[in-house]
Amino acid sequence: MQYDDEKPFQITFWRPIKWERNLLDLEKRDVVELSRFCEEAYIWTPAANVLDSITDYDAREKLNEMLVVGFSPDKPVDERKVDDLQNVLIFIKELIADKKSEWSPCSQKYNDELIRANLLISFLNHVEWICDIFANVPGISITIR
Amino acid sequence: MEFQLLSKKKAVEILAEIADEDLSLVLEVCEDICFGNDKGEYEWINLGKIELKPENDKIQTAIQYGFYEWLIPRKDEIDCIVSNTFSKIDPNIKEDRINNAKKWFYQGVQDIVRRLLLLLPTFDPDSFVRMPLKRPTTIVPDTSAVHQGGLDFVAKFLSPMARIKIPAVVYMEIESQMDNYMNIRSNRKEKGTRIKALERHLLSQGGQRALLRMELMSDVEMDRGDLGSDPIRGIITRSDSDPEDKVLEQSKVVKSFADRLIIETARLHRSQVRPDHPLAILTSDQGMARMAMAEGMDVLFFQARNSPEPTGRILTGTHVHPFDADFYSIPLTDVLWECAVSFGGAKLRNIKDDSFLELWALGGPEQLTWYPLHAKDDLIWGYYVQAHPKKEIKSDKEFLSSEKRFASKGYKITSPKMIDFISILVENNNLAKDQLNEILSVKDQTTTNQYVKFLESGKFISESEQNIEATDKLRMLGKAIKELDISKIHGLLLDVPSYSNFHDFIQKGRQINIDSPEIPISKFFIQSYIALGEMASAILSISDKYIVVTDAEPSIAEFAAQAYKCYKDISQNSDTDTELILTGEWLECLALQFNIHPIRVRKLLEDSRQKGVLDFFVEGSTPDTRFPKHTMTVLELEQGKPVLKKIFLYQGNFVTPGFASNRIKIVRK
Repeated sequence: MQYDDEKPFQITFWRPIKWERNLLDLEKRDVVELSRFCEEAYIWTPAANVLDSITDYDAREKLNEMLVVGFSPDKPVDERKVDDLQNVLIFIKELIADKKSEWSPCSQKYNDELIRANLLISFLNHVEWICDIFANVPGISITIR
Repeated sequence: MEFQLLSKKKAVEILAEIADEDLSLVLEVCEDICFGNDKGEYEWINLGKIELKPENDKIQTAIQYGFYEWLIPRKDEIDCIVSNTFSKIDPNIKEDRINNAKKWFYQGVQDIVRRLLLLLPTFDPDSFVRMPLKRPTTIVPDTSAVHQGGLDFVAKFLSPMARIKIPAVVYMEIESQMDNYMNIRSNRKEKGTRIKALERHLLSQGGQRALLRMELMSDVEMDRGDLGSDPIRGIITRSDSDPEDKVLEQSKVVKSFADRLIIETARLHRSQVRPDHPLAILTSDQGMARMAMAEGMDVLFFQARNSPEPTGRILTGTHVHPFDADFYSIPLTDVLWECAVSFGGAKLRNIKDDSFLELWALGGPEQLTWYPLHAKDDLIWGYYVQAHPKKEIKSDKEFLSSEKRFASKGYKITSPKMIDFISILVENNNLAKDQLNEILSVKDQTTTNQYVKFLESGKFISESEQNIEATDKLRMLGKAIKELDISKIHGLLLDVPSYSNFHDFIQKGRQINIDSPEIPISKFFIQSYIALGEMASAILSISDKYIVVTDAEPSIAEFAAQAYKCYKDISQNSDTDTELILTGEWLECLALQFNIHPIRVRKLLEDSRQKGVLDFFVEGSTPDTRFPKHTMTVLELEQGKPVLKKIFLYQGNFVTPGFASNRIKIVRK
């Protein structure tokens, strides 16, 4: 399977909208129920597809499903919480402990040298950091597209 | 032991030599008062393993650009190392003091990791959602922000929108810590100085380096008010004779007073800029944050000593940018420098041959001088022992031509494109680099580089700034491909270290599970390497499960016996009434049991019949499509042009071209 054309995920953390005034929906001709809306708290698109660094085919498929299906905007908000993402991080830690990820060149260059990275470890450290920031904050939900 | 002043550039060369024997190095640190004894000896504390991850054998590049993993021991392991060290150097030291040492040591490691941005400070969610900053904002850090990496985070990720205004009291507090440390150093033989030395050393040296980094090594915009505009500069008029002043103890800069001065600096600065200019205090101190908020100041609050824990995890030298689709890298020399300055001494050691690089910023075995030049050029005193002292330090280019021990885990190529690329290159002799994407029909340069590097690693091309040029060796390969000279192709491909490693591995194991983690080729590229091996009749993949070496070249008599044995084995286990067996199964059996490639089988089968040592009968009609995974790649000519084709072993169109041969019967004569 070729992964060249696969786009990296886009991870978005959402928080309940903070808006003090009422909003009028001109189409529905009614005041908007603001509790139905979330605003973007943090958005991040990784520099490369994290799946590219996983050497085990089944693990790659499983992680893809855990992230993209598990955090699809179609899923109920209660199933897309920080705790749910932290459960995925446990799986990623297992993959790293089992040495199922590897270092590979990325598209970015420093002084003509292609940067090499273990995308899975970088992804883990970064997402764990974001989860720590938003852990326990009421109303936070996550989507991955 | 001869110390010399080392630049980071020189250290990269030395470290590359040290890592030549083994890419896994041990990082150790030492504070000479805390971990030293009365005789002037001291112990090194293990701070984990550094594993370099170079491409090919470009070790210098890996050190310079952060291609490494730092496996930091768990906190309980570090605690245990610290306890054991004290039991060696000072067995009478009390448990509570050892616990203090553990605490300072652990905090020191946390601060180093965050100042290096190997792990980032955990910000308050409300502060974090405002990042990256949209408008120019003045950030006023307190001392905790300098020590714990908050200031480095702002300088790296929030500049140039962030303008940094460091209050004078921060410099003063760190200078005061430095003064305390130097007092301890002067009286190091007094009892009870050991643990204090560790604490003061970590705070003062780490803090001063962070401040100097802002001034000398970064492009951040620093706000500096006029002389006297900073409240600290005019507040203390010391007069011990005045009883009132004595009671107030103004000569002591107490902690809460220093906190207050940070806020005052921020307030004063705010009064000097336009009213809507945003300004925030950067701190990890809860009291300071509350005080600032209570006075209407904005706060960027972070935690850097609770979570995430740096210990027991793998940190990498290349890291994703938090606000961009980008990477940033932390050179290994930065890690070594930060550890050496914060603790006093740092050492990177190769345990295989005991070569090492030892750095001392303060203390250590000799009285080391300091001049401002050392800070400006980031020089540090170092001493190194190489396993092979007479061996010259090699540049990365020389390393490339050395051994294939560090051959790449493979290149991301596809085999049909590679064959086309070789043909075009041989035809044109040289190609402009900016044409290559188009020739290879790829969008990005990264993919193109993989093809170039594959050929370069086997010395099939030479590279100049603008062009790549075919070497004589590539012309030989092109000729062999055009003439379908399989053995010559294989021989030439073995000069590519990654292919050679892959082939050697399969040849040694004879039959390898395709999922084996030991295979020295990345799982992403393995299909291309299998195709190249199959094209050269050197290996065969069986049903995407095994890779088997197919290097056997039996005589006709040997082949007749082997062909018949495989036929009998399969027919005896067959449930069908017919004497004919599946041809694909028989071909795979010959590869698995006797390591004969199907291409050779086809020729040997015909030769055996002509010599009268065996006969065979085939039958079939429509292609058997039940076994789509049982394929192999072969090289053929199509209108004089070499192409790679996929052969389905069970479809019945391989063994006897022109006749369907889904099933076969072997008769021994």
